[in-house]
Amino acid sequence: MADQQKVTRNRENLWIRKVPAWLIALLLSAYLAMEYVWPWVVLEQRESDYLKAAMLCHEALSNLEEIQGAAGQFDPPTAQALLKSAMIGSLDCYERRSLRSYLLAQGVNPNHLDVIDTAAALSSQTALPSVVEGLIRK
Amino acid sequence: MKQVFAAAFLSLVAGQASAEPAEFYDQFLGHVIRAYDLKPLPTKPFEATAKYKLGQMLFFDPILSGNRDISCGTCHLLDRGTSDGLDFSIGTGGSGLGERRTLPDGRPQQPRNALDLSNRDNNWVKAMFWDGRVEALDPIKKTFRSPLGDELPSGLENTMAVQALFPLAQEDEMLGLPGDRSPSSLPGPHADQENEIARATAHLHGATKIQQALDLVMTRLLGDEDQSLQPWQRDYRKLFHDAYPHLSAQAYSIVEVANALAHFEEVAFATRATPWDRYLAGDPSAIAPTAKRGAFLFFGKGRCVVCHSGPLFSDFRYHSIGVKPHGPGYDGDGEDLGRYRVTGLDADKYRFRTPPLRNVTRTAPYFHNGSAKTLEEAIRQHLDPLYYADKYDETGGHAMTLAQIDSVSPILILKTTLHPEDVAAIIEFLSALEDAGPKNVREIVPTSVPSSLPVQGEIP
Repeated sequence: MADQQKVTRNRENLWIRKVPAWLIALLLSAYLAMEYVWPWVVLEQRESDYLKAAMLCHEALSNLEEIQGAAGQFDPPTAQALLKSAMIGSLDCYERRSLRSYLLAQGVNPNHLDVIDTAAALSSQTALPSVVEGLIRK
Repeated sequence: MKQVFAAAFLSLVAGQASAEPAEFYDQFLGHVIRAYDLKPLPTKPFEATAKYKLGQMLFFDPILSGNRDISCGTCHLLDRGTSDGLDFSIGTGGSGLGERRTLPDGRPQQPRNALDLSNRDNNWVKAMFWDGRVEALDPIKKTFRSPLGDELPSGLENTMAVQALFPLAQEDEMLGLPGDRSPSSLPGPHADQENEIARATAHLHGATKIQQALDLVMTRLLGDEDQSLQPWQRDYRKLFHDAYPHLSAQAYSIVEVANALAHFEEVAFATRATPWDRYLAGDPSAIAPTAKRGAFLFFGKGRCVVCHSGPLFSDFRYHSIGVKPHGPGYDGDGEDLGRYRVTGLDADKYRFRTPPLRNVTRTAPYFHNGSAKTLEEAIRQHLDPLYYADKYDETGGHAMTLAQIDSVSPILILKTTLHPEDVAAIIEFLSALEDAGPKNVREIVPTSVPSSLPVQGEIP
């Protein structure tokens, strides 16, 4: 009997039993918010920025690649000037990388960002020929 | 309390979301500035010396023109960025200024767009005119190539001084035609006068004609000491003496006129303290974030800097960018062969000197024939230089010949991925190259000139 009373007392003394249920619920909610809701909110807010930055980066790298391929047909100063401008242009990728780092730090799933990267690459490939045409001809 | 938490949460998210990439551009431009070694443009201090005053009077005085009806200042207007706002300049015989300037029927029209005069004294300037027919061969030894060939007088100080000679002897610019008379509305001794310079040079050609015309301009300007001098001739002799005290009156020549004009132009038309120069000097707030993005595109993905390089944003080389034919054309029938007329090389057909870009936002319309009315249109032409390759002109003919298509620079044939908002950003950057404008307009545009003719040649 005494033993049974001791066990019951011990149970009652468990620290967890002393934590109010409302606090546990709050902490659990906070965890879920940080883990799932916050990354979702951040991605919702920045997805279009990231898509744009990824597109710009893809375009810049495509430009650099094209100029590297064509450099041979220009005189050396012109080829050098073209490459220099394309390399400056590739700084656009810094923006994407910086934004990606920020989003990952906020808990965004990298797989989601990879999907956006792919969409940006496809989008810039299909959109580019119409970019120039898209400029208003008066 | 709930509302407070909700507001705090939303503002946090919004704050994160609104972190613009603008802050990157200062870092990016730091790389650009180092890569291209960019520095603020050095300019001469504004100082109204005696030489400046002589150049100022010569620049605005129509007495230098055969018909006494046009001065340099007629086609190089301060409020048009020292251009004239027209597709093609209207020379002697015209009336009005800027876009209001008109030409009577039967007068020869100039076939090219007026170039601006900003910063043309800079050593970076290696060539003048759209086709570069005046070039500095050695700026240190001051040797030049020009239509005068070996007959070019010595003592000219820079390409701007050399350039200043030629409009005076050009029939459709300032010389006029044989048989012309000055407008009857001009004051006193200038009204209804025969154009003695055009008459005396009518039978001459090439360098001889230019030399003879320039000699006669000097005679009209300073008179003959053996005969009685006109009031303006006495005034100009005084101005020459003040500007060139070491020279005797007999030694004054067209060289002193050209050097004084060039000196005035280099002091009066230097672009000073543009936002871009202030940014380069270390003031990050000097230009807007969009202009920073524009600068980044200009030097980067847009590849504008490949040709628009250096402190004046021109390589002073020659390129064809597929500009559609417009107007009479330098070579007639709407055709303008550009640099080819100077070198005779087939490879130079349809090529024109890269225009410098400081103050470009104030010098519309654009290109050698003024066919682009806006900067957006001009930039678009660079992005799509073969746009007119499959188009037709007003007469039903092809807008571009095969030779024109072949001439287009391969630099522009490479794909350039600029979006409409990128073009807008580049234009914003070009606006940052704009001089705030002379604060001392009265020190540049005089209220009167020695001849008493209308300043700038605006005929009443």
